[in-house]
Amino acid sequence: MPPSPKTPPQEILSICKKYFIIGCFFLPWLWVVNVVYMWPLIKREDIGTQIKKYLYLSIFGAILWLIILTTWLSIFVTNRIEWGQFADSISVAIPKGV
Amino acid sequence: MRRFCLRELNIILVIFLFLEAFQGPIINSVKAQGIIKFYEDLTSFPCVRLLNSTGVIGCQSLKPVTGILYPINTSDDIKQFIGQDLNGKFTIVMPYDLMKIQNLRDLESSHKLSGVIAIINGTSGIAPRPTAFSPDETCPNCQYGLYRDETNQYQWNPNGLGLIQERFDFPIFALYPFDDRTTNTYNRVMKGVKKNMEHSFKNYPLQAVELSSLMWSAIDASTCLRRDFCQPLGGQSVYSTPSVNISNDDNKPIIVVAAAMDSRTLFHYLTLGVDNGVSGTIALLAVADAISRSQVEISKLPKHILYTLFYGEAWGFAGSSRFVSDITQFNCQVKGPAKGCPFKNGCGFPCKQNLDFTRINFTNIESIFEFNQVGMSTTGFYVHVDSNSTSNVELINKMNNISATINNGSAFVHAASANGNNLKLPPSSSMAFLEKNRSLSAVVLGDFQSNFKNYYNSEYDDGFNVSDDSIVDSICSIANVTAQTVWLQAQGPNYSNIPISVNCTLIRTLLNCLVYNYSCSFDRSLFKINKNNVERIGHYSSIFQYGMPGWLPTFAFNYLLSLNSSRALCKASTDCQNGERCSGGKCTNTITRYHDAYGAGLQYNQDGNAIVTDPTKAAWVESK
Repeated sequence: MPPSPKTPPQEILSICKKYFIIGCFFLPWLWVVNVVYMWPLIKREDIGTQIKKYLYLSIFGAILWLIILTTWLSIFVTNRIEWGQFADSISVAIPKGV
Repeated sequence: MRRFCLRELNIILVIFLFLEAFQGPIINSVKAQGIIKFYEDLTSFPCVRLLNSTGVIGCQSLKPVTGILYPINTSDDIKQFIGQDLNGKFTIVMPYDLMKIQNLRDLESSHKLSGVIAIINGTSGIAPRPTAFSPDETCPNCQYGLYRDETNQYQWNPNGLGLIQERFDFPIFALYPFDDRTTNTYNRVMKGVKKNMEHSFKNYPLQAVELSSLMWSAIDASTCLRRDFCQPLGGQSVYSTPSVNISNDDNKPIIVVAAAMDSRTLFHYLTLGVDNGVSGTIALLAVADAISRSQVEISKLPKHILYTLFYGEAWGFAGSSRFVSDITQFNCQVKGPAKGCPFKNGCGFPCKQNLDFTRINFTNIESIFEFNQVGMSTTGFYVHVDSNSTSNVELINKMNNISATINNGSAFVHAASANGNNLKLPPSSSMAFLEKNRSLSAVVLGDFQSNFKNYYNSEYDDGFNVSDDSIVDSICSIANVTAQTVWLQAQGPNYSNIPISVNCTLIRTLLNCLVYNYSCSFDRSLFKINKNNVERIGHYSSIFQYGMPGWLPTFAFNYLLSLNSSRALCKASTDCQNGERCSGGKCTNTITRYHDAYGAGLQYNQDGNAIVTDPTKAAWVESK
């Protein structure tokens, strides 16, 4: 659900900006939230172009994270056994029996 | 049939749940249409996963698997099952003697197999058995033995199927009814099989069983130990000497009388090892008893006699190799208490309960008499030696002569190489000693000449196919010869001609207590058994834990401790002189100690964690 139309434009812009900046601290999910939350406002004339900038950056960042995480996960899963002690030491929970 | 009670299965969780599957509109698999009608936990005996430094053996399934019960009785049934057009997954119920690696692999590759239930015995008496069945390898433990680097090692166990060393990624359980719970399991499975046969395995409802054998262990020993999911296989060996004053520098020769206590099979909890394991242990205990009753004071003899009962021998000679390495090269780095070591008075690191073993000087060891499998003699006994050195030949001749004297002139102890084939030593504890000094004289006594007996390391080595009398006779005769030989050897050239003889009644008692009824009155007179009704005990070593000896070592320790008791009565150890202990109301007069037994390839580090230090040596571990 997007912000209420009554919310002052400057405040919306500030929220969108904050979401993007906080998302920079390893919180790609917040970028996704930002995009979902703000996307309906993109057509607004007053702040549309300004939030668009942050939303595109958020999308780009989230996709980048997705690529990084899936790549890492596939590398980790396929090499976990080969890496031995190192893999165990960076694991939160070691799967039992494999 | 004797009634048994097994040691509690506490290592892995075994859940059987029965479910009756009902036909739905479209049947593709039982799982999809299954409705749990009744749900029953059943006791059974699992094949478990074990690990060494290179990989895994044994059975494991990551998820519980469900299969419709399906009986297989012949090899043709296997072919028929594989070729048959059946829907769903099946749990194969088959006699143990059909469990050959190829058969299991064929079943596995049919993609219709969820698990296997092996029937080792039925409910009506002793089921017919194959004449030979050994799940062990054709050359057991040879990769850890004295001849490991030789090509074409002699294969002592031609009946070996190699099942024990195989890896199966599906669950295998055994049925062996001997008490109420195991009989119930057997009956439930058999009832299910019968119902399914009536329904031709196609017409629902069908009886299915869920098998669960998840173990945490994976990959190899070092990984599993690092993750703290595993512990070394082994336990506590026991050594004992009547020479309470033995010291490292007394230059008195030592005669070692050795035997292995434990045994192994595919289904660990069914391990009895009457011939391989128990018979040698009993022979040693009988020899120790005979010598302790001699009129000559043993501690004044020119030589020491050292009894060693090794544990974990089935796992790459864990007990003997650990003992030999400790008496040859032990160096206490941290005296007193240390992290990860529960003992205060021994050595903190490497952790040892006591340091009495350092009083045994390896270079003083003169000869070794080892009992291997001695319970099933039919054509006499055979003395196995590494080489026909002068001292070995001398020992063989001595035993041969003594056996002739006992048996009215006809000798029953012969050199194994008498038939012209020198096969050297079978896999044995003496190998660890010879590893350090190949010129030691060591004789390994067995009831076999060139091939192990037919049930080597099999669940069938339970003594049921022969009478107790013949086992007792067999053990008694070899124990007698050995006791007299050791006795003469220990006295040196000026021996007194006072004969000693072993007590065959004692051997019968020991056989009964160690195989059929651990809570026998003889055991209860020696030490306190906390559980009320420990009847049948497994002779599988299980895992090593500091200060936690298993059933067999506990018995051997208390038995050897009670021998040669000086007649002083006591209530507590403080009543006894010279640091002797009070056991059974009398002061003991022996040094009897436990000695840790775990694979030679393993060590405990300063944090008290086991690690693999030498992958070429035995490093067997099991899930906690």
